[in-house]
Parts: sequence; structure tokens; C-alpha cells
Amino acid sequence: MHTTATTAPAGALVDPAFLHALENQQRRLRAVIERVDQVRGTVPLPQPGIWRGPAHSLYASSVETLAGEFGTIRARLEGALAATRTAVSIAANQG
Amino acid sequence: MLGNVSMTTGDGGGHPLIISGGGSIAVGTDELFAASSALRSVSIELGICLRELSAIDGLVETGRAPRAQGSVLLAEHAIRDALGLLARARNTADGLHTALDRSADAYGLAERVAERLSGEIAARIGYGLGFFLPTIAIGALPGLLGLAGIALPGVVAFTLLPADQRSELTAALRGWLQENKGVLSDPLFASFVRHAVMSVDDVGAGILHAPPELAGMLGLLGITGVAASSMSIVGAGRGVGLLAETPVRTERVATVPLAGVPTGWDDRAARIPRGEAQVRIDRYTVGGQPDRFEVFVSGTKDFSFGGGAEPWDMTSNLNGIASGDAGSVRAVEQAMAEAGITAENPVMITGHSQGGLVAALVASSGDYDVRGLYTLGAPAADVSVPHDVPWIAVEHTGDIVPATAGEWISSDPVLVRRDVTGLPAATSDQYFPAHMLPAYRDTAMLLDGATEGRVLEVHRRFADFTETATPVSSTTYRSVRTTPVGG
Repeated sequence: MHTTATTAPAGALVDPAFLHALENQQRRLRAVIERVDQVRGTVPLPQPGIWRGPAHSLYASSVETLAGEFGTIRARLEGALAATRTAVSIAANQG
Repeated sequence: MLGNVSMTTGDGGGHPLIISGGGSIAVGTDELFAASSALRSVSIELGICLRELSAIDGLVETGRAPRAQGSVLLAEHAIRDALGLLARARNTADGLHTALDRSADAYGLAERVAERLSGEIAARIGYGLGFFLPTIAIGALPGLLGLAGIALPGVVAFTLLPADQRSELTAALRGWLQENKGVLSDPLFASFVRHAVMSVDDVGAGILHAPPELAGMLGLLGITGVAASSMSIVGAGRGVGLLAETPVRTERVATVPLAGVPTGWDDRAARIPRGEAQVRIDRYTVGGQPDRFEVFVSGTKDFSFGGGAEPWDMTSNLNGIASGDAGSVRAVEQAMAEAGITAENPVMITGHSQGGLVAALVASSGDYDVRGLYTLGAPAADVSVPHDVPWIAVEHTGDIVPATAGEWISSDPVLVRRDVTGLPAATSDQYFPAHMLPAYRDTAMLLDGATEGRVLEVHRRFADFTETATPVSSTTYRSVRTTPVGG
């Protein structure tokens, strides 16, 4: 893709296509985080007393593990978003 | 039981809906199916997140911004970590919903095997009892003949007693029923009744010393079975002036404007007549189409075997199970004709107890365009309704009335069962509280919140029926026998 270079405040050249890609990534990451949060809210956490017995314990612990994984997923996505935000800032100011 | 899992609650009190039938082998609680469905959705949604994140992963080329390269690489690593985690979470959700579905299938298969084994054991006991009957005390027979078989000899003897002895016996019977109503509403007792009813033919085969295989074959061919057993009882009753069907006359009681369409299962159950009228017919108009109707049929109103003018009696119950030619069925057909219902008008039918049996018999007749069936505590298991008619059949496990029709062999409705033992709605002063409409309305309310796929599909078909319809009127009908049974 051919892009037109513009001058950043510090005097360096800014690649608009690169900046656009970073901003696009930032926006879409935010949307994914929102969607993951929504999905997390639909995980059917086992209420106490729904079932009894070993199979219930296995089911409950599996669902709890699944719910816990959402926390880790979110942390990674937040990390990606923060790094992208930093990259946008650097690219916008220094190229 | 679900495999080795005890299924409880759903309403906070250990009374879940157990759903089966409807063309599937799966059996389980609504909570189980809801959890499976939710986990399936989670899996699908995580798949969408995965695809979106994969697309994001290719957006930025690190080499194009040397100073931002560190941050871009950091973001890329975090995205790839998230991709791995999302894939793992999706697999977990997928595995969980598959496991729940397989548990439901396994439970369904186990229940079928258990039912078949119980049936075979009951049949063999029945055959053995019949075979050795000449040397066994006759008094042992009623226990295996099922409720109807028990009732008739007693009724015949009862009618032969002097009036004062009859009142004494009636009072004693009421006291006994009151004291034993807990046993009569016990799911185990209902199960016993169900198997006893299914084994009556085997007792007969044993008496005749016919090969046991012949009894089974005749049952499979439909030559024997619950209907044939009921026919025998009806025949025996007619011999002493009871259970012979008589003509009925049906008249309109009142017509009022119809306020709205039913909002759900409980609303439909609430529309079943409970006063003098036995039938209610609601009319709807739909632009450019024939009018459509909802028919609501009440349960048994007279538990005697003859002498009265009430068509919703035991004569109709037994004749309905035996041959379909019951006074209450003819009364409903008369009411439908009076309302203007022909084979061209789409109809939904709802019924409680005998009303459910009547509803199923009307649907099985093929004379009407029946678009849906909703029965509560109906002895309709032996009625053959076309499988393309959406049908929700609700049964309480402690209700012996549906048990008197035996196992569901001829039809395959979405069967919703529930143990209501101890529920406030099922602890009335009635002798059979689990059979009463208030107890069934309690279950219908729970059914309104059910999210299981088969229940939702039938619900959708019922909702579609009135979606574009305009409510017009609601008419109630009262029917009487023009000649009393035995009169």
C-alpha cells in the first residue's frame, strides 16, 4: 500500500497507514475485550445444590476453571491494548 | 438420576422439571439442558472472538516503525497469548456442553432400559400369577390388575349393598383415603400402577396358559394392551349395567369478549374451565385466513361409574381409554361444531386429566386441523397422535391418573415430569393432590421459565399460532347425558 508521509511534531516522518493500522488494532482490541466480558457473563456458574455427587464436583470445578480463564484472557487483551496504545503514541509523535 | 448424579432443585426446593421425548432419547432437568445450551453459546462466542483476534494479529507490521517496535512486539505477544487462552477456553466450553448432552442421552438410555426391565419383570410376575391362579388366593389378584381393575369389582359389590351399609363404607373409604393420601401420591405407587396396568394382559395370558411370547406378540400387534384391558373392564361393567356410553347434549353457557391471547403455559392452564362448564372455546381472526380456535377441556367432574348426567365421569374415562368413544369426546365435538370449527380451522387443544385424554383423542381422530396439544395429568399415553402435532404432556410422578394409561408407547410428546411431593400446591385436602389443577399450574409456571430446546420449540409453535391473531370471543359449554349411564 502506498502512503503519504506527514511531519510529526518532533520533526520525524509519520507513516499514516501504519498509524491507521495501530489505531484500528486499538479499536478492535477494545471491542474484543467488551465481547469477552459479555461472554464471561453468560457462563452458567453452578449454583450450590443444583446437582450432587462426584459428577457435579467435576462439572463445578471445570466451569470454575473456565470462568477463571476469562480473567487471564482479559489480562492478556488489556496488555495488548496498553502496548498498542503506547505504540500509537510513539508512532504519532516520532514515527 | 443422571448417570451417577442426583438431580435436584431448579425451583429451590428439589422439584426440577425432567424433560424427555419429542423425538430425542435425551432425558434431564431443564437446568441441565439450559447449562448445556449456555455453554454451547459460550463456545460459539469464543470462536467469534478467536477469529476477530486472529484478524487483528495481522494488522500491524512491526518493521515499519522502529521506535514503536518494542510496543508493537509486546502487543503481538499478548495477542498470541490471548489467542491460545481463548482456544483453550473454547475447547473447555465445548467439552462441557458435549459432556452434559451425553449425560442426558445416557440417562435417557438408562431410563429406557430400566423401564423395559421393570415392564418385563412385571409382565413375568403377572403371567406367573395368572398361570398359577387356580392355586393362589383370588384376593391377591387386584394388586396386579391396576387401578381400573381394582375399582370395578369393588364398585359392582358396592352397588349391591343396602343404602346404610353403603354410607358406612363410603365414610370408611374417605377416612382411609385421607389417611393414605401420602401413599396414593407417592411416585413409587404411581410407578406400580403404571406397570400393573401394562401387565394385565400377561395375567390373562397366564390364566389361559398361553405361551408368554404370544402375550408379548399380541401386545406388539396392538391386539392386547391398555386399550384392550380397558375394553374388557368396560365389557364387564356393561354386564352389570355400568360403563355403557349414552348420548350427550351440549349447550352454550356464555360468550364474552376475549381479552387477549395466552401468554404461556400457566395462562393456558388457567383457561381450563373449573365451574359447571366443561369446555371453553376461544375464537381468533387472522386476516385472509379461516378463523382459528383454542379449545380448553376440564378434567373428570364425577368419579362415579353410573347413574348421573355428567359426561365427564368414569364411564367416559374408561371408554375413552378403551375405544375413544366417550361421552366427553362427543360433547367436545358437539361444542366445536357449535363454535363453527371444521377441518379447515386451525385448532390448539389444552386439557387437564380426562380433558387431556379427550384433547388427545380429538387430535388423533384426524377430523380437525390440530396445530398443538397441551395436556396436564392426562391418561393419554395409549392414544396415537400424529408425531407432527407439537405436544407438551405434563405429568407429576406421584399422579396415578396418567399412570393408569401405562407407558408412552403410541405417541412421542415432549414429556415433562416433576415430583411435586411436599410442595404447598400439592398438599391440599384432596385425596390425590398431585393430580389437582393447582399443582399442575405450579409446574406450568416453572415450564414458562424453561429454556430446554424441545420445550422452546413447542412453545414457539404455540406462540406462532396466536402471534398475528386478533382475539374475538370466549365461549363456555355445558354438556349433559340425555340418558344416565345404567339408567
